Amino acid sequence: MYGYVFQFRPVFQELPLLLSGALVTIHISILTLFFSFIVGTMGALCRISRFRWLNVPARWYVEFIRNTPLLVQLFFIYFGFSQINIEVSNYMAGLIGLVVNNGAYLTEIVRAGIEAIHKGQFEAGHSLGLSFPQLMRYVVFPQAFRVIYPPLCNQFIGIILWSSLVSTIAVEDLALRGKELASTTFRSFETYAVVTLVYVVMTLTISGILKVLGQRFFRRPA
Amino acid sequence: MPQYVQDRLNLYDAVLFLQGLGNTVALCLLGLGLGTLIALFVGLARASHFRWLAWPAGLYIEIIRDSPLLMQLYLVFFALPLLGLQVPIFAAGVATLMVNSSAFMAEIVRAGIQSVGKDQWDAARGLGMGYPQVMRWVVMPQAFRVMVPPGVGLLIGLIKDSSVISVISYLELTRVGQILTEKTFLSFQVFGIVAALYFVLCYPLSRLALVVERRLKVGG
Amino acid sequence: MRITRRSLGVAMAVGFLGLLLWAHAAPAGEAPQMQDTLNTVVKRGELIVGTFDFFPPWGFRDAQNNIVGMDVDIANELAKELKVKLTLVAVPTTQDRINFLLTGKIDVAISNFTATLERSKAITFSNPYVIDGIGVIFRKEANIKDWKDLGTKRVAVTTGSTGEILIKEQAPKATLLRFDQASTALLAVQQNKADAQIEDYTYTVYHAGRDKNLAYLNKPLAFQPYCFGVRKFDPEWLNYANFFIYRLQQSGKMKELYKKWFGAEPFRVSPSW
Repeated sequence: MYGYVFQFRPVFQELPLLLSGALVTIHISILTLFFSFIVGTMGALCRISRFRWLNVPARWYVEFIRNTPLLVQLFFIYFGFSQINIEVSNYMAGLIGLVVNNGAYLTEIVRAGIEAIHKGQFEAGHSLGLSFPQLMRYVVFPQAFRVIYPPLCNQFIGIILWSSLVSTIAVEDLALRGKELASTTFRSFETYAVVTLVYVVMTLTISGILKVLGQRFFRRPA
Repeated sequence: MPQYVQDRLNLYDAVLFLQGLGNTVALCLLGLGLGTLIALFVGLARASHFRWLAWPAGLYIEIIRDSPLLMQLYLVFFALPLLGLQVPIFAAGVATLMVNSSAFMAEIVRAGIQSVGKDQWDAARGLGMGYPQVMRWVVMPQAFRVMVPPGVGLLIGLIKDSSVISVISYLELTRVGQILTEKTFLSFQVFGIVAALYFVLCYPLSRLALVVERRLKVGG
Repeated sequence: MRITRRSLGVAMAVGFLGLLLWAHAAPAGEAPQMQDTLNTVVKRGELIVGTFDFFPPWGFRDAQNNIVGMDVDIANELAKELKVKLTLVAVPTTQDRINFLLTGKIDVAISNFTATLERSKAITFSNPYVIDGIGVIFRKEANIKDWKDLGTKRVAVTTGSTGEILIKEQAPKATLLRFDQASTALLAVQQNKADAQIEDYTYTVYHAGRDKNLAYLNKPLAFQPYCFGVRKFDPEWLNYANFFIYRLQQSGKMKELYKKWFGAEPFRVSPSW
């Protein structure tokens, strides 16, 4: 050993600092979920569309994002776009990066949800004279949502965990607060152990809540 | 005084890109390989009927799956030495990916084992086979079929996740991107190339996964 | 049998509380182990030095992507004296110098490492080998004539650097943007995400010379010593490092290297700065 004595106290004294970072993590995660769901829905509609000019670019988008790392996407957006003179703040770059990334995964999730719906529903809707938007809104989505819900919750957990990467572009989330604390207290192990624990507690709590919510809303048997 | 100002990427940079690519592949193959070995045991434990096996395995899997890879990396790289275990940079990267993938792989293994119908078990037992033999000759071969497609998916995920190992200064692909951007400030081009190289690694694998899935399904 | 998420959550909570209690129990003082890096290095036949690879002209990559710079030259001299092979580890961020050192990834940190009392609580610094100051580099439009002009501007700093602490004193109302590395902070200034960057004075002079859109403030503050960083409880290694630096300065080699990289005479290394 290198003359090291474990001391957790300096870390626990700064718990409010870590929790303020946790707040930012949750904040950016919720915003990401919201916007990437919108992006995902639009993407899914493009993907099921008959029009090739919608379908094909959507497919490229999904394939490109799903086969490249989030970290690279973040760096690309934060630094690359400035090179062609588009201004982005680090929080915005982080948010856009996360939304673009998760939008691709959500596109596939929403698409799976829509395609899970029995074709008879579409036909019935048409014969009732419903327009496409009405069909989507009143018939398809409510049913699709039930299918979408579990993978959506999983995706949200993923968002929370992977949002830690925005710390590399200077967004003051839990991971960055942890780094700061580790450097000011010089206690890397203790700090990162505690930060990891906070992430796990956040994740388990939120997934537990979402599960309970899911059971209450989707009580009708499939 | 010597001043190095580089306006565009040169041949040495191209070599560095390839080096980074190679290192990424090495990191991931080793990480997933070792992780799968661990996952076989953890997955078996998790699927076991014995609570004292299944619960710790479950705890291991949950903690790893519910914490960020970045934190796992810091703990392996910075924390283990303080407990007396010195970990060089490459080993730390492999170890982190190994531990991380073992948790996800364990779930795949568990699902694979549990996908084999009980009738198979009963039949094998009826033939007088002991537990290890049932596993080796009856269950695992069938489970394997179920495990391969998500396993390939895990490899693809691991290749992308390996980008995080750049923070401990290992010369993998993303780190090469950082180094070259610092030198030339051509972030758009550099990270564009980096993204393209990752794509070249991952996309064929994802197509392969689809093909394999179809083939194995047809096999029945 | 099912492992409910709840049972795991309970386990987490218990673990957390356990740590909390442990933290409050008085930590028993463990007798720290003495280090002997000097003999380890000689026996190993290899010296592992931590430097930067993004901070010209102290440690950066040349066209062939080799790490070169003032600190690298000094590290080469040290390895030559010890008659061992030199291995450079490019430490990714400012804070990582201490982390890598404490966890034994490097034997010594030679990376324009400013010695501060705060950092001295965690590691040990050698005698200074170069004196530098802290300066400001800014976009010409920002028109900074003095530290006070930083007022409410957007200032890029590197986390854990001495500049970060100084700016909080000099211009407390400035908006701080924190980065892991000086080069990304500089990029932010060049891309107008920040108006100015606080970094070591020699760094600001060097980069302002490279980029005609940038200028540096000719009023360095807080003269600070660059030292080697070594671990605590490592007296032989520390003594060796100190004597090595003394010899380097006495023989004129240090002046020669400084002139090579900065084109000027170094500040005098003496207590009366």
